[in-house]
Amino acid sequence: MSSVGQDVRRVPRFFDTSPPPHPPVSWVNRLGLKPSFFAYLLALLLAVLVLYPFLVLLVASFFTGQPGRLGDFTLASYETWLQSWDLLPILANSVIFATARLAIGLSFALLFAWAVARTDVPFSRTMHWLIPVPFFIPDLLTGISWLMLGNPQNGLINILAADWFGIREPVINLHGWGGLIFHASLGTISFMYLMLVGFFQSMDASYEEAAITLGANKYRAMFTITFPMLTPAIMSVSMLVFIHGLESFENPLLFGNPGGVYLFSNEIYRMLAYRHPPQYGAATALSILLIVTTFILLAVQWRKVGGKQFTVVTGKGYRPGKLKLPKSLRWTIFGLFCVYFMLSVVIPVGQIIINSFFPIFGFYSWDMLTLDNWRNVFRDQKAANGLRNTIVFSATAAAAVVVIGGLVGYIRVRTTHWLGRYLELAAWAPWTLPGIVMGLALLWAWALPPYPFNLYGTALVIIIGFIVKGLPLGTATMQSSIHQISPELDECSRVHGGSWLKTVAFIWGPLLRRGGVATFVIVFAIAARDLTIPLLLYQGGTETLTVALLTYYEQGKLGVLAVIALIQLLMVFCLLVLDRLVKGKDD
Amino acid sequence: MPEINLVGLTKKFGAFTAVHPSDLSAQNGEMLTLLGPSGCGKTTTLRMVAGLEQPTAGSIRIGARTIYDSSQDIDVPSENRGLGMVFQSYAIWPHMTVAENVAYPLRMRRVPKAQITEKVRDVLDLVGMAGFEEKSATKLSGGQQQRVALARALVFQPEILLLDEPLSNLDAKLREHMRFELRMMQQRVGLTALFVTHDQEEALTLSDRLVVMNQGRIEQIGTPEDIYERPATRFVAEFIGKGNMIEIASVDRAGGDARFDLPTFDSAVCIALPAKNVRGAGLQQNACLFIRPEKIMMGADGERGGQNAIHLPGRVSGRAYSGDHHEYLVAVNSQTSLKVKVAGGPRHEVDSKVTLAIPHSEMVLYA
Ligand SMILES: Nc1ncnc2c1ncn2[C@@H]1O[C@H](COP(=O)(O)OP(=O)(O)O)[C@@H](O)[C@H]1O
Ligand SMILES: [Mg+2]
Repeated sequence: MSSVGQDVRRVPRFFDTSPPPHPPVSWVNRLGLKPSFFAYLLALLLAVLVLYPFLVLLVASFFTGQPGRLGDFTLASYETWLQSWDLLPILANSVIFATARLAIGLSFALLFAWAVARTDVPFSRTMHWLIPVPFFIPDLLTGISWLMLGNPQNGLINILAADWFGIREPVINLHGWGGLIFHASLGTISFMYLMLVGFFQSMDASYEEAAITLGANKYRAMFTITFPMLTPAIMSVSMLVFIHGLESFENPLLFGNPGGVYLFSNEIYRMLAYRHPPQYGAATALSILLIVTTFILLAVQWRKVGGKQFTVVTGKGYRPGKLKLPKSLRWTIFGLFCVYFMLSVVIPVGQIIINSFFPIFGFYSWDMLTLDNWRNVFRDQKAANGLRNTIVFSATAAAAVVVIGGLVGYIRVRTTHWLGRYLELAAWAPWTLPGIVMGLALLWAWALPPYPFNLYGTALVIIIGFIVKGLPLGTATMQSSIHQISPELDECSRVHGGSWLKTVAFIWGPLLRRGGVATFVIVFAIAARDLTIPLLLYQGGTETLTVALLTYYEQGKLGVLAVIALIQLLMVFCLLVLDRLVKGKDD
Repeated sequence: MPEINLVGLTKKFGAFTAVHPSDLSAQNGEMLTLLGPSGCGKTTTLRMVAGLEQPTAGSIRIGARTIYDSSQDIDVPSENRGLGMVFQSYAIWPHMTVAENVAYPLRMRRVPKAQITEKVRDVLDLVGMAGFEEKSATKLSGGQQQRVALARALVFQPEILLLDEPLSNLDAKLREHMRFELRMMQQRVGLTALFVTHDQEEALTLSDRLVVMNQGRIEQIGTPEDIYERPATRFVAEFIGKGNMIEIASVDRAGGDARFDLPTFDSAVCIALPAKNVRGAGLQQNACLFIRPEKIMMGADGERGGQNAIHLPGRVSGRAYSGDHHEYLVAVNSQTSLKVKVAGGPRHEVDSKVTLAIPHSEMVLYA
């Protein structure tokens, strides 16, 4: 590089020639196609995807019919619930369950997030890598696995206790409240950690340090500064998790129902699947009651935090100083993490792996070892269908959410378009809808319209369900990555000759790749692990892996089930690796 | 290189007016600087020119081409305005190499590949970044990013170059260096440039003319000498350089001259200024007298500093040495102290009595 003094640089010769022509007027400009056009298009799309099924569900709750035919107006469905005491135990069970799950999940998630982000706990990088793993493993899978170990009749642990120690009574019984809360908490810890750790990482350490300088000890600083500062974030996350607790389906189905514990979603499912004829009216009315309950909770929450939106915070580059913990505490926390990882991943996955190599559940000896299950699964139509469908449906939905979420994020973050707020709200709204309710709403909504809009029984309706289910987290993830792109980067492209379409292609696309992959992975995982939506919407040929899992579980075919579960795990694992690879390449 | 004209350009954000109707024009090959405190609307003005912000009213012309006119409903999209711009954060695209960054405007203009390579090389040579073509943009230092941003804004021979505080993210030394380099580059290429800064020293050294803005209004347009020597308003006088501002209780404007009293420790000095030294609407109250510190002469007690000057007795209350000159703070009465800048001459101790001589021609009354 030469400096001014020597000044050997000459003005390039090309400055004497005439400049290149202005860029041609782009066709998007000639058509007058502005980004605001997409705001309206998106509003329409979200209205069809989210709002419409919701409205149909509401309307349907006042009619006697069933999906495909509304029938006559009636208030009877609500009378079933509101004029009897039937609602009370369901509500009470749901609240007890949601509270317990939240309390346990929050305690451990806070401990882990704080320890990983703010202290010198050993192997913090490994912990940060592994704690989110359980979230990506379907509850159905670990749940079934735990039931193989701990059901009171032939749970392996109980069998072993009887064989080795002669204990006749079951030593462990995962049916009922204990198993339900135990297993549901495992996944919750992982999810809440994912939601919270970003806040801890990006929080300004100087407040804590100031308090310590002023003489507070480290732990006082933690309780008087760190946690209170994060209270709004913690409250928001807690409320969302609590609502999800009210809506749980898989866990109560596996653990609660055999012990007589029913929650909202199970009751709705029971009305549809175990009654003849299915009680659509009662199920729909109960769905609406559940939605109303969650809306009231959300309204209270909004008033408290002043309507502040909850967003997923991703860590900034800034690494605050880490707190030095005494040795005993450091290792206690690490020990807790090890126990957690054993319970949530190692033991259930290990059990599934072992079981996949034996023809009959529980009879494990060297001479019974076989690959039959693995061979059978590839001949099994249901499993093959399930695998293909899960991949196709989840990938399609995930790709759609990346695009929709990206557009919503763009409009919200970069424009002042009045629709921005409503689009964001619409993308968030499905968070409050339990899967089973969403499934029921979609069933009503898409069985109603005439051909060719009647999507009843098609794959498309399941894909729509996955899109709706993935929208909240997907949009939040896209939005936060859009937040990180400085507006000057795309403005610079515009000024120097790129139409907005070219700016999207050459600047936004590459810059959003990482966020896009992260979103894709999250939505794919959410869709792939979901049972409730396909359970109500599948017909012969459109079943997913989770539906196949449940079917085999109910039929007691635990060997094939184990193989399917492992295939599903492998899929999730591949995705996580993909995510890491993209991140690693950018770093 | 064409000139640029802004007529009645206005920007409102809701009820708040960020830029009041303003007229501006930069001549051919001129470096015109928008100078003002932060929040005065400089960036907004520049962004309206670039097409990144839609004006509420007014028009923008580049040469004979109208690129924006609210009354005729003309709004040429940003990408077709043919402007080069250097952003405050440089906006170097992190996913591209240096060469790809610089080539982008040419690619958008469908320039043939071979020409692109050549032009990119030449322009990188011009900004002193030859050989950096394949370097990843994320591995550049601040100064290097700045050069690349400049190369990218120059490579397609834009009609106008826009620069929004391009030097503010550099450290002091580099900033000074780049200042001269930027000026040299602009003059050599003969580019018309609009430059935005809040740093008055930068503005004074860089510009052919500058525009001082305050709260969305243009206070004064002129050459650096005009602005520094003859500030048109009180705001400009206070904003540019270090100045002494003395509040004057009342002014007598009978007979064209402005007469007023300046109280001293002993009595009052009566000053009469000709009308040409008076700026503003001519209020009788709330006036103030402006004097640059380097225009004040300082002598021992009772010393006279020549004709056409008023003499004020005072006492040195503070002194600072800054290499090539002394800066004194001289109290002329119990409320008022004047800054005085003296190069050479005898040193005056703190608390010594001195006499200040202020030439009439150097006093300006803003009334
Ligand atoms: N998008 C916007 N919305 C509302 N107010 C804005 C917006 N952009 C700028 N402003 C306001 O307009 C005024 C001028 O801003 P700006 O042109 O950025 O100032 P400068 O560049 O001179 O520091 C400031 O008061 C700023 O707060
Ligand atoms: Mg600015």
